[in-house]
This record gives sequence, structure tokens and C-alpha cells, in this order.
Amino acid sequence: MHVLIVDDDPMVAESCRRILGTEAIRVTVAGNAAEAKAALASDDSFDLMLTDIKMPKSDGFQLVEMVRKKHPDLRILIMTGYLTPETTRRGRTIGAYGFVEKPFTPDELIAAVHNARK
Amino acid sequence: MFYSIRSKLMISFLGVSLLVGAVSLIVGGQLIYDSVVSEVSNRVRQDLNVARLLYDKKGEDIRKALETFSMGNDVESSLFMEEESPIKERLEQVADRLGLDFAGIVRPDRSVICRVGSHPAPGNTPPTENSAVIAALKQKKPVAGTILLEASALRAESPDLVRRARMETTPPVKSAFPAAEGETAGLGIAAAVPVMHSGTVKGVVYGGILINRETTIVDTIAETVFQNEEYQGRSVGTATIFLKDFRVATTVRRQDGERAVGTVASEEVVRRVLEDGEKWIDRAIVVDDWYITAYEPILDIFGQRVGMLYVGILEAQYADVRRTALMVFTGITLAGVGVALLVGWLLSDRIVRPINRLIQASVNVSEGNLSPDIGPVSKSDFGVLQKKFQEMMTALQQREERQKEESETRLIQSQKQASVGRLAAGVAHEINNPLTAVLTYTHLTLRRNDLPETVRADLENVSIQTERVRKIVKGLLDFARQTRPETETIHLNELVEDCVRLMENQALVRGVSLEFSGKADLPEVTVDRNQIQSVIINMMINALDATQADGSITVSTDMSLSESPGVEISVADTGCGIAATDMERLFDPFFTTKEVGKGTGLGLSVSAGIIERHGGSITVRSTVGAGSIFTVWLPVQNNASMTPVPAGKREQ
Repeated sequence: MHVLIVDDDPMVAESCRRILGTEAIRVTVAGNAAEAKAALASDDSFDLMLTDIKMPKSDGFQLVEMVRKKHPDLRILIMTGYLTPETTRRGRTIGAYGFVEKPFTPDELIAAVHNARK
Repeated sequence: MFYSIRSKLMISFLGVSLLVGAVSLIVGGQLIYDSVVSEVSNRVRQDLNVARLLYDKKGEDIRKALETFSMGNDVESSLFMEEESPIKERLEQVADRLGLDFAGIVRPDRSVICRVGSHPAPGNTPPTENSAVIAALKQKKPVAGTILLEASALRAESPDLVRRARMETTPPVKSAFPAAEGETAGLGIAAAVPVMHSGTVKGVVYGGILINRETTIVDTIAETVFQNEEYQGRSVGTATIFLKDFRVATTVRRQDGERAVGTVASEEVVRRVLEDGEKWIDRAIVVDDWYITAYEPILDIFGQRVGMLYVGILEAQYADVRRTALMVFTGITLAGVGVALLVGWLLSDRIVRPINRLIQASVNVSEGNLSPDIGPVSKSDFGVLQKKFQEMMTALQQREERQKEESETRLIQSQKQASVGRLAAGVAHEINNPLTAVLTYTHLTLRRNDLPETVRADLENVSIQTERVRKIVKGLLDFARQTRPETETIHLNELVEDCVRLMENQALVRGVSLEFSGKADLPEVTVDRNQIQSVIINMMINALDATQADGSITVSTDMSLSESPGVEISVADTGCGIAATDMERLFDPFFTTKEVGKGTGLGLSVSAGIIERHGGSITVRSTVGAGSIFTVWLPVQNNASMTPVPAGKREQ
């Protein structure tokens, strides 16, 4: 399994990498939308993308919309520290598979990733 | 307009005064008139008696004079002479003195010895038919009184008398009149004195007055009785002597000023007086005017009813008295009506003015002026209304001030919440990233099996405290979130019962009894189920935290009657209560009285925000040491989308 983590906070990205590493999941980290797009373009082995919303330049919603067009089969989980009903509604509208609320424990993240994979 | 107090009052006053006035007018007028008529009738009755005395005196005067005359020696001697003697001269003197119309001396066979006045020679004169003479001869003593002189008798006395007695009837009448066509009988007052010698009648001296057209008797009566009293140029009192029903001597004047001789009495009077022989004292038309009259029959010397004696008083002056009285009464009534209208107007003004002022004051109040001028407070019972109105105004002013204060407080509160919310959202968002890292590394490290126990214990503390931070941040975000309610129509009792069930175990653990009493038949409410549930649960958690073991918490629902239609949810505990100083900060974010780590201080402020967005309110009553009651009021016809959310809270 290959998961793309998109977050501008390196500590969050690293945390994800470490947690998923314990489950033998391959992780690629992107620090912003541009990097994420580049990674997706160069590698088609991704099963899942986990993306933050609040990022400089292009935010998570725009990224999700773009990725949904280019890679319709890729499942996307949105990670956010501020999950509101509006966020949920908008995320579902643009095709996000699910949501992970920060902060999370390793178990919570692993459960969410496995759930999205099924 | 007719329904106004003023018109009712004035119509009542007017009606009463008119009624009283009309009654007194009719009754009073009639009473006065009746008493006047009765008074006048009495006077007329007395006047008639006086007239009768005067009338009778005339006959007596003649009798006395003739008696005196007959005592002279020359009278007796003359009875035996064939020719006229100086006796005639003396008889003429007596006749002149008494104003006799006829007089004479006759023999017992009624052949005439001498007569006064123009007449044929004694030898050729017919014997007298004078009934007085006949009566005197028969009775052998002097007689005096009324006699009926038929035309032949008159002619026998003197042809002049026939002319004088004759009169045209106006209108021509056929009365029971003992006269030939074109002739008229006469009524006379006469006396006859027999001249006696050795017990036998040797002759009779007689004399009398023809009443027809005679004026002295009736004028004497009128002068004596009425003293020529006049009213509007007319004699007030009148006197008349009737021959049968026929006026032969009278002071009553026709319209042309002539004496109304030759006219007749009314049938009614004739029937009563002449036929029945009774007196008549009543109103009657005399010639052409109303008089208050008295009639009585005149009997001749034989006791036959031959005429009537009449006196009457002109009614006009008494009718005028009545008219004047009626006019005075009318004037009084009109004045009374005027006074009634004036009093009615003033009274209604007194009543209506404060009412109008109150109406004006009500208009002022509806325009926003809560201290309108209602004028001086009346001392009457209307003053009670004015005082109540003033009290109402005071209460309204106080309420408005309170509402103003409350809304100001609410505004400050919501502004505070909004700014705190924005701050919290920003901070929490940023804290979540490092928290993720801390949680991740702590948990991952704890998975290692080679950790010394002391390190593991420390790491577990790190984990627990991080969870605490996570909760605080989550609370902050909940507070900042302040989402719009997603409403559905629900039964409030069901929702509250769910909440109670959720909390039952916790209450059991803490040894606190938890009871729910739901009011039956509550109306449905339109609310965001999740948000209201979180509010109720938050209130129950607070109550549990404040209550010691063995305490109790009572959750109840009820209809609200205080404000507009609504329902109330109350959570009452027997806990420690809330200090007065804490009361005003109760709904401030981050204000908590709980121990460190037990509460975020956001629960009540979040709850208040939710209730506010539902258009409801949340209130607290508390007694330190006895417990607190939190009450949430929700409107029944809730339209959450219509409820304005204070600026700043829409941002999330």
C-alpha cells in the first residue's frame, strides 16, 4: 500500500509516516499542493491521499478537486484540526472519502487508513 | 355619536327635565285653572244671590210705595167717582218717583178708574189683565213679584209698552213663547194693593215695571256686584233677566256694542233651569263668549217658571291666568332644559376629559412615550383607573429599562464570545498540529517493550496530559464553531428522556438520584436535536459536578406562560449553589469553578450560544448551599433560520 501525505507541517507529515510505517505502509510526503501533484504525476502506485486543508498557496480543497479529476480512482482522506459541519459538507461534495480530525492517536489514524482502503 | 357618554348623559338630563317640565306644565296648569274656576264659581253663586235680592227688592219697593199711596183718603173716595180726579196726579207722581212703567187704580170688576201714561179715555179703556191685580183681588191682600204680561195685557196698559216689549229674536227662534206673531210678551215686576172698606175689597191700586229693554235693574246688579270691573275693555261681570229663554234685559253686549236683548240662552241651560227648575253654575257660552255663569229660575206670583236670572263672569281673564301660568311653566321647563343641558355638558366634560386624556396618553405610549401626561388624578373612582394607568406606565418603564440593560449585556456578551471564538479557532488550529506530533511520538514510544518502568510511567503521564490538552482544544473549537442549528420538529420530552438515560449511570456512580418529570401534552418544538441535547447534557454534567452524594437532580419540562408561547427545560440540583460574584461571569467563556482539569469553562457559554441561536433563553436561580436551577426556555414556533446570529458568530 502506498499513501501520499500532504501537509505543510513537517512534524505532522513525519508523524503520519512513522505511524503508517508500523503497519508496513509505504508513505510519500508532500509539503504542499504542488509537490503532491508532482508526486502523483510521477508515480501511479498511490492507493490513498491524506491531505491537510489549511496550507499556504493552494489549499486542500482545491487540491482534492484537482486530484479527483486527474485520478478519479484515488481515495482521499482529509486531515484537519478544525472539523466543522461545513468542512464535512464541502469535502463530501468534492469527492473526499473521509475525514481525520487532528490531533489523532496512532490507532485512530491506522483505523481510518484501513477503513479507506477497504 | 349617540353612543358617546356625553350624548347619553345629555339625552338623559334632557329627557328627565322635559318629562318633569311637561308633567308640571299639564298638572300645574290644570290645578291652577281648576282652583280658579272653582273660586270663580263660588263667587258667581254668591253674586247670583245678591242679584236675586236686588231683583226681589224692586217688587217690594213698589209694593211699599203703593201701600203708602193707598192709605190716602182720596184713594178710597176716588173709587166712587166716575171721572178722573186729582188722584191721578198723585198716582203719576208716585209712578214717576218709582220709575213705574204702568200704574193704575181699578174697581173690583177690574174696570179702570185711572191709569198713568198715554191711554184712551178711562171709559174706553179695557179692564186690566194684570195678573198682580187678579191675585190681589183674589187674595184680598197686597201682592208683589214677577208677572208675565201678554201682548193684550200690555196693550191694555199702554200701547207704548207693546212697542217697547217687542223685539226681534236673533237668531229667530221658536221658543215656548206666549205671544202672537209679530208681538212679544213682556216680563214685569209689579205690585197690587187692595183698598179695603169694612172687610170688602173696594178697589186695587197697582203698578209695575216692564223688564223688556229695561236697563236699571240689570245695570244696578252689575254695578253692585261687579263694580263695573273691566277686562280688556269689556265688562267682567254681566247680568241678564230672561223671559222664558229669551234675553229681555241684559248688560251683555253684542259685538256692535248693543245690548244683546232678543238672543236666547243655550239649550242645555234652558233644559236645566227652566224645565227642571234647578240652578246652573258652570261654564257656558253667553252670546259669543265663554262665561262662568250662574242661572236660576224666576217664578211669577203664581209660582210658575216664567224666566231666568243670570249673572256671569267673563272667563277670558281666567283663561288668560291659565295661559300666563302655562307660559310661566313653559318658561321654567325651558330654563330647566337649558340648565339640564348645561349641567349635562359640564358633567360629561368632567367625566370625558380624563378619559380623553387617557386615550391621548395611550396614543403617546404606543408612539413610545412611556411617561405621558394624564392630567391631575381625579378624586372620583375614575382616579383609580388613572392610578392604575400610572402604575402600568411605571411598570412598563421599568420593564423597558430592564430589557435595555439585558440586551446591552447580551450584546457585550456576544461580542465577547465572537472575539474569543475567533481567537480560539485560530489558536486551536495551530495547536492541533504539534499535538498530533506529541500524541504520535508518545504512543509510538509506549509501544516499545524495552522501556524502563519509570520511563513508561512518565510517558503515560505525558499521554494523559496531552489528551487533556486535546479536550481543551476541542472545547475551544466547539465554542468557536457556533454553527447554525439544523432544525427538526421533535417532542422535547423524548429528547430530555434520552439525555437522562445517558446520564443515569454517571449519577448512579456518584450516588446522586436523577429524576425526570415531563409535562404531558407539550407542544412540539423545532430545534437542532444534537445541539439541544448537548446543552441538556452539559447542564446535567454541571449539576452532577455541583452535587454531593445523596443529593438529587430533578429534570423537568413545562409549558411556559411567562413570555410568548414556549416550553421550558429545568435542571434543578441540591448542590453547592453559585456565589453571587460568580453569577455574572457564569456564561463567560473559560469561566469555571471546577477543579483544574475538570472543566474547560466553555460548556455554559457554548450552551448559551446555542439557545440564543434557537431564539430561546437560559436563566439561573441559585441559593448558595441549597442548589441551583438552570432553566432553558425555547419558543414553540421556533424558526431558527429567522433568528439573527450576532455578527462574528457566523465565522467559523
